[in-house]
Amino acid sequence: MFNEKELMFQVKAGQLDKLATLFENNKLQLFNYFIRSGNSRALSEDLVQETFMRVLAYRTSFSGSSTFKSWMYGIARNTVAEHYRKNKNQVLNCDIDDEELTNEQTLGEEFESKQQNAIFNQSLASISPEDREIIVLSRFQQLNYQEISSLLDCNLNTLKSRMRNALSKLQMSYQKLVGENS
Amino acid sequence: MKNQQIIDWKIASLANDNSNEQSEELSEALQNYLKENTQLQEELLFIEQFWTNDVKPLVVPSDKMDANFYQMLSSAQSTQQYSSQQETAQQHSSHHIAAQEHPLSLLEKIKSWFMPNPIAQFATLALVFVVGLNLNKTPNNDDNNLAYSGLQQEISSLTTVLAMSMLQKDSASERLSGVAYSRQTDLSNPLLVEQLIELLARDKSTSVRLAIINSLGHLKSFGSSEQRLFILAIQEENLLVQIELCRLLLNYGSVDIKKLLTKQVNQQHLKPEVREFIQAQSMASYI
Amino acid sequence: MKNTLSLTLPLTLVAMLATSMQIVSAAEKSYSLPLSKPGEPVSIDIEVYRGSITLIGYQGDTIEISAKTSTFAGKDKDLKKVKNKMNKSRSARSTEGLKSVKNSTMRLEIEERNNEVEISSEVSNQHVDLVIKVPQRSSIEVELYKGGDLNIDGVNGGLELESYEGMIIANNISGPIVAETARTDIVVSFSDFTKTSPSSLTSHMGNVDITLAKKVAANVNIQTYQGEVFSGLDNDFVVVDEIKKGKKGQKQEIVLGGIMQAKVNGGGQVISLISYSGNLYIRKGK
Repeated sequence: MFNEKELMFQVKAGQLDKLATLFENNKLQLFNYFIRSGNSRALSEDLVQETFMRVLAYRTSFSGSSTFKSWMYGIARNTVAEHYRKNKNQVLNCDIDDEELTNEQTLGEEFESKQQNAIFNQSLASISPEDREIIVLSRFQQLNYQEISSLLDCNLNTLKSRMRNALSKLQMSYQKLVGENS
Repeated sequence: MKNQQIIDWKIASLANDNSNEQSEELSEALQNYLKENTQLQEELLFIEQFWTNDVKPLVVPSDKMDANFYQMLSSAQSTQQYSSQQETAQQHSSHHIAAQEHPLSLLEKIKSWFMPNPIAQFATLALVFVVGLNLNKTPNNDDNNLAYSGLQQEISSLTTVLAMSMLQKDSASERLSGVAYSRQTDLSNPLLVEQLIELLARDKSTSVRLAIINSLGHLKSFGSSEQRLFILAIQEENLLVQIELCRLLLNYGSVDIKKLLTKQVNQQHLKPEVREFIQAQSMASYI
Repeated sequence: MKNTLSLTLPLTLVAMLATSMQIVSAAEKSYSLPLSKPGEPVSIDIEVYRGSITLIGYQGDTIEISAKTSTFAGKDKDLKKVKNKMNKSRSARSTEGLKSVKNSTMRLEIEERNNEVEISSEVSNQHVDLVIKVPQRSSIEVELYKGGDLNIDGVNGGLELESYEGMIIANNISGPIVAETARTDIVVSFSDFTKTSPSSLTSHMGNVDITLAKKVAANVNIQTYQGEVFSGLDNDFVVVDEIKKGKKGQKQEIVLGGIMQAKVNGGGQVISLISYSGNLYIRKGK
């Protein structure tokens, strides 16, 4: 297995073709990160492109003090923020219905799981973006605490406390939705 | 306090965090503790379910996303290749001396970059470092604005680089793309403007030359280029290019150049159609 | 009256004879050129001094060339005789018992290297009619100086076309296309319109006539000084050339030659139609 940090150093040194490997390795997760953050498919694709353009442009500033993923998600977050700053009138919409359509599970026990999945997603969508972000980065983008704390610029203990907080809010939202559905 | 630690531990173990330091002994004590704390139990159960819940199949992006990325990468690679060839060719020029003044070995490594002029390279590099440092700090709200405006500048810089690379391509359509990119940058880079005017003077495609003239209309001021554009206009063989250059200078040029141009009308240096055009323009506009 | 008639008749005869004398000899040949890398991108560069060119895109993966040449013995109106024929300085030798041999050789250079194809006919007194079948995906660059027209059908790659004397007619293409003529018309019909890079059709004195298929999305820019514009598009053309500079209390107008733009199907890549005195026609296809 290759080391992403190594690859990024090679890109930094001028071996631009190595960026392709980093792209292939991360494109799906990055794309889904944008989707989970509430962006449409088309916008998420643009944001992936924009993020990698910046990865290429900023390659000289990659220091290796964090992992490549952490650095990349930092750029990704700024890319989204920049986009919404420019397009203030756009509403963040969560394509819950679309997401359900892509789920391949259908009958029986799987139906229950699908239901639960949908409610999880809905509760995720209902909490604040700051809380959602911490959960998404950890649970879905699989960044570890070190990476997330450097990304969000907060110390480890603060991060843990924010995580607990976010999950508790998520749980409350979930229970509320389950109550409404039953 | 203890509850919080337990939750932390749970999250960490689910996330397979390497900083997880819980040992097996605690889990027994933990189980006993949990029996008395139903609320905590529920919380832990919820977290477990959420974490282990089957992630629905990932949404797959379209092929277009891949295509766009590879096109960008290919563009970057060909410019890098071209620039390094240029660099080799210019080894003995005076520019090389300027480049050698940069002490950092890092700069040396990325010398074969987009822009032909090492001094301009350094300027862009400095900008990237500044912006990069801001990014890595992941700033708080006060620094956000600085980072974002830095980002904007960097994007403009990247577009400039793209424009300059496209303008060097063999195909006229790609050069037209380069002109379109240059328009997006507000032509703030003097090297880009220089390249455009150079291309205007010698490009074999009338379409490209006309597109450049349109692009130059977006310049805040022509500065020293005005004289050059004037001379190009007077000497131009191509009717469409000549008339467009005159239109450019009449619409956006200084008062002096406008006077100079209308003078030429009398001196019969311009094609009759162009003379006719200038006369019509002069009558319609008033200063 | 009588005198004029008797004068014009012999002149007409002379003209007819002169025309027939131009076709002194002809040769016709076909070539099938395989590609070094089948299936990969193809770029074709064609330079013809005098002739006509027809390019047809097809599903195959070879270049099928059919060339018909003839010697041109007429006069180019725009060329002056600089040098006298060499023969005059040499005394002719005896031709008794000898037959005059017609020169029916063809000078046509064809080269292929790593899918880059070059076809050229640069002999000034040779008129060549080329009919070439090319893979649909080919990118093509053509320079046709004199003679007839340039016709293209069904090619999806990038086109860079220049015709000095003849028309440029392209059907069933998707661009990008950059084409230029001096006095003749450019007629293009787009079955699709690529987003890759801009297209531009420029004629100094000729007309520019485009047809856009129903599904095409584009930003159509038009610019003409003395010609008229005829549009079948749904949207109107609006002036895009802004006066950004201008002090307070001053006013500047663009009287002639400004750029106008209309969006088709919401807008897309740019196509520019430019002519000094020719008309511009923008049609909606089926």
